[in-house]
Amino acid sequence: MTEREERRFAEVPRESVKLMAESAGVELSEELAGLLAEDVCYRLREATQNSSQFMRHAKRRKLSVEDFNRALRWSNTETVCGYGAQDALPFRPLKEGELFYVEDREINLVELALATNIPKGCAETMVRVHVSYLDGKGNLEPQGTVPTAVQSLSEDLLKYYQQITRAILGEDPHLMKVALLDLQSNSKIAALLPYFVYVISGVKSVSHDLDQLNRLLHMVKSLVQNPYLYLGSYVRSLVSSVMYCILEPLAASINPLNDHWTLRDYAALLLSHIFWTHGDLVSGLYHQILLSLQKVLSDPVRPLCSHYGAVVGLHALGWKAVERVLYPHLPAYWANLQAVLDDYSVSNAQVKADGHKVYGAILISCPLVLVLIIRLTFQVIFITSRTLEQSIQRHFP
Amino acid sequence: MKRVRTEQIQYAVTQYLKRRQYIDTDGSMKGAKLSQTAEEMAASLTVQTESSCANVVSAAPCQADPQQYENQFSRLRSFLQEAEGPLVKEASSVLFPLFLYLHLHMARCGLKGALDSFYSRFHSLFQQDPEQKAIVDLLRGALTLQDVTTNPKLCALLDHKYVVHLTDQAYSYLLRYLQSEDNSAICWVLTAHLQVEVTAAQRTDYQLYGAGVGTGNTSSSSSSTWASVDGSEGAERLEVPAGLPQNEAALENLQDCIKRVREGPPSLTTVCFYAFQHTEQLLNTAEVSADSRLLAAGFDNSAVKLWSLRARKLKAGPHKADVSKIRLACDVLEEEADDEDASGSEIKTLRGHSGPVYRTAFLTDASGLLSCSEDSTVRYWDLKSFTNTVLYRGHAYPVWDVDVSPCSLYFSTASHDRTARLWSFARTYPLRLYAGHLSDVDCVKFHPNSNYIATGSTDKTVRLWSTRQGASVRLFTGHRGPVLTLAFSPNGKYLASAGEDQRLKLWDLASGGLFKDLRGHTDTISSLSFSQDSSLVASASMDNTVRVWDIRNAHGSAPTDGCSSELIGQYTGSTSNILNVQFMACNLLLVTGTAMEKQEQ
Repeated sequence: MTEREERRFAEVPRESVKLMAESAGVELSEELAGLLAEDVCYRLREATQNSSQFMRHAKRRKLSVEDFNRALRWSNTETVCGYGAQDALPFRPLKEGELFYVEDREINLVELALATNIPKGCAETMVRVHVSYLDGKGNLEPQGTVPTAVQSLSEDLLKYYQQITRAILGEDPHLMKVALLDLQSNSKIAALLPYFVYVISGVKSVSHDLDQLNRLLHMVKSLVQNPYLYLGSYVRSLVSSVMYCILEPLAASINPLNDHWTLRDYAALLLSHIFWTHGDLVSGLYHQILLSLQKVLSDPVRPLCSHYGAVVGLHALGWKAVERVLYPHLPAYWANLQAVLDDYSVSNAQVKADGHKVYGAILISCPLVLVLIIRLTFQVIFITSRTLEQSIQRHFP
Repeated sequence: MKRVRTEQIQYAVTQYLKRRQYIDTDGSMKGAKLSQTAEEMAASLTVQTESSCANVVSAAPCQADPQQYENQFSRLRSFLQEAEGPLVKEASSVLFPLFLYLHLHMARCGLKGALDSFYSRFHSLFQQDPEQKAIVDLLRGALTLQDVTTNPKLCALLDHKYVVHLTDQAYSYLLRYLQSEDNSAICWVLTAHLQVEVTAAQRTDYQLYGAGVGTGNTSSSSSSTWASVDGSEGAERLEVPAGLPQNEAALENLQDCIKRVREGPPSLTTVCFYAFQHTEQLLNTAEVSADSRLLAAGFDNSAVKLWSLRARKLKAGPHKADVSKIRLACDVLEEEADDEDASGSEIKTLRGHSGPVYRTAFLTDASGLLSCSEDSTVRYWDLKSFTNTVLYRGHAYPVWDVDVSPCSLYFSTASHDRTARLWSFARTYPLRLYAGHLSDVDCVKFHPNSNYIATGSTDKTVRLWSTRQGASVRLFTGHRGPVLTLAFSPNGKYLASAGEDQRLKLWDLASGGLFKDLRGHTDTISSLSFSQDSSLVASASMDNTVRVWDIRNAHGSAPTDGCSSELIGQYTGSTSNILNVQFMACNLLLVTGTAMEKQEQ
């Protein structure tokens, strides 16, 4: 930097100025030529400085003629024309003296117009994404590798993982709260994400214990609500664990005293929360969820608690989901449900209680369906009134 | 009247029972009472509970055959000895209390002969544990009812119940054995004198992938304790499980762990490179919106292009400007119907400027986009209809930079005319003018609290301005070249500035002095970004690298080749010219740049 400051600027000699003046037909004195030379130098420097600004903001290194022209334009000067060709201008030297002239080539326009080789246009700009994963030390892993799960974690992180899991799944509620709060607000736990997701996928093995399921769902909620954490492709695994809680006939549900209904409600709310905040991280997630819910609903072999879970899940995903999945299926399903509710035999008592739960869930999501029905009737009314009006106009112009 | 009513009720009840096929009702109806007072109900309920099946066993005073005690106990013992499995050990913990209470019961009933043989056969089992041994020795002397009643300790044992902790698996294991044969004596002792606390099995040892961590085995073990121990006996007290000091220790441990992780090294795990191809050297700027759904790029040919980064394509909303129609509610339904079909496109081109676009900025909720250009105007694009709705005029020279305030209330621009200006979205003229730089202002940024604006300029200084008053409140000198990029930390304490002198300087805003000066880059630094927790700074430069620095602690490796020690990592992707770097979450860094050209120009 200091070098540049010490360097002297290029100077235009007075002789050049005088020559230029002569070619324009003006006589100049020495003084005038000197002043003009200084001014020309200054203007050149100013124009160069401005054009370097254009170059800098276009994030380029090479100063182009366009940059210079822009600088000239903003100084209200005529721009330099005739530049921008692909190949450089050929200068030919004259035999006598140090003069060079630009060769004037003749171009056959007819040939040019009828030429068959049309130069290819430029392709449209496109964006390519490339995701790199960092290994434990912070270096980029070579391209194309899938992130290895067994990274070299530091001891602190390992200990943290053990302590937090133990606290959440243990017995002390205060410890659990502290652990969940930290999961929700800690910005440094990204490397442990695969491990926590593995713990949460253990829902499948504790389906007899509602308390543990609840705690694992709390863990999912904390991770999802952490603003510093990017979940990426782990969203799928978390969603599948939550769906398990919603849809599976849990071993705990065999005992009618266990309240697995609130667990399903909580899991459905959590599903909608995950979907609305992180749903578009994974393509096709919405459709996959809808498909699995639909499969459960249309399968009469599944126990009613699964159906309840499916209805509650649809309700939590919004009225569009209800409209798309539940509504077309409702007539067929209703017949089966009525049969269950009408059966007053003693052996059916438990199933009937479950059936009432499903009935209630459908009623709750039904107002949304009722809205649809009302809208449709209004549409029908409008259309009929319009046709009536048109027919009246035709007959009584 | 009352009789008729009773008859009617009876008739109705008989009919109902007949319908439900309870056939032999006629006889039982005579004696059935049709009304009960509350006292009668309470009395009958207590009678029922007291005389239910469980209490049938307990009501039976003495066994007919005293030999049964010994037989059943020996059977149980041999069963537990021969069986294998992890539950056996837990279930065996029930043997000692059974022995104890059977002995006491036999002593109380005066079955001396059976008692002698029982004691001599089994007392040797319990010699290992010192407390059990002590009690067994005590029992040797207790052979009659008199002995039992005179010994206060044994009386205490009889008065209180013995608590046994078992996991539910062990408990069901034990019950299955007991139900398989006639073990009525043992069952009776279980109900009368033992209290079994059944706990669910805990799963607290989750294995890490392959690397077995052995310290996680805290499956709850069974323990026997004396319930309601007499305080004066002191010596018999066993440890009380899960007392208060233990919890506090665990809490401290947990909090210590948390603290160490929070102060530990950062956790950047993913770097995402967006590389533009076929740009023909026209690309000036690229930004990703805060919810990382959209990517905007400004070009030299005055176009702004938008890409959708998610699966959902960009679709313009319905055109609402038709004034020849009145829109009714039923029209809305038809428009909403086709929301899910794939009629959008991946790229939207926004044309409106008449000069190269130098910067685009998204609003915080990504509902709009601002772009500034060489034609000295700033345009606002509405992202629902992808049209240009507002044109902001005020500068007379090219605008180099635009930044939106944190709540999308204002935006500010930096221009070639050596000023920065403050605008509101509702007015097309600027509200404030910040003049003071000696050369054109290259970059502008809002402070997270929207009260200050920082500007960097070609005159090698950074100035901090008060938004409302327009006065310069700080001047940061020290750079040796034009300052091209700025970033504020989200906690509002630091300002990072960098430019052509290849140094990243961190300024402490409270004191106004230089906090850190980071070396490492070998070319002009073009973009800066802080992570959300203000602990990491990422800088991108024209030497085609992205470097991440940890400004809290020096967690980086030892300084090599003149880099500062805060450097954590240096990344090069498939880009040849990096335009922008952004932290999306603490573990995700987005980098946009031009792709590497296959042929060198």
